[in-house]
Amino acid sequence: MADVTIDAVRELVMDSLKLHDTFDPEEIEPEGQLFGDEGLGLDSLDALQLAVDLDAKFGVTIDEEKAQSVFRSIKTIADYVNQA
Amino acid sequence: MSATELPIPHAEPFRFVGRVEEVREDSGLFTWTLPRQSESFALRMFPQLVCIEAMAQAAAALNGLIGARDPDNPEGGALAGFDKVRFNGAPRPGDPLTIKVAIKKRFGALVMLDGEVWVHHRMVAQAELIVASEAAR
Repeated sequence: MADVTIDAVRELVMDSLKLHDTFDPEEIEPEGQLFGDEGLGLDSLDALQLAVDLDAKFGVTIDEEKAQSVFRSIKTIADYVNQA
Repeated sequence: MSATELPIPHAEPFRFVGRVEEVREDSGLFTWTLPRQSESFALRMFPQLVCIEAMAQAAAALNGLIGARDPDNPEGGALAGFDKVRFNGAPRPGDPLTIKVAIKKRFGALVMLDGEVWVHHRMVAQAELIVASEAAR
């Protein structure tokens, strides 16, 4: 698979979690925190949805053990997908 | 297994899952008949909402039946979300419902499932559901 870009992951995250009405794409920085109060405020339900959609789009499996590190930011997701 | 043995807390008249027809590792098949006479406003006026609740109860029941580590204390879980809901008509009083649920993804204490409600050979409702086990609440 060709390298998955930051923009492609950002788009998937925004589509998957229906964030288009809440954020502009440029508001979601590649290394910005996604989960928790200091980030975008995503929660465990969002993590499950992201895991399902990343599997469907890029064929990568992310389980709960990996999720905390993989879902830290858009960049960590892209890095994980590209290394998988 | 009878409905009363299912690992969900719902009781009549808010129990929309009856017989367990089949339970596999990642899917379940349940049946229930929409009452012919019901004083329940929801049952008469919002049969599509009943379909959603029936799928949610079936999803929780399946999660408890196959996910329970302690058979004496199975976890059913609670509805945490639903999405991608579609209706194709509405069941009528007396219709036999077949409720199918299949697990798409387990993620810690959360489980995502596809649900469908059928009346005879017609699918009347479908949705994607998320059930949270007790541990997540």
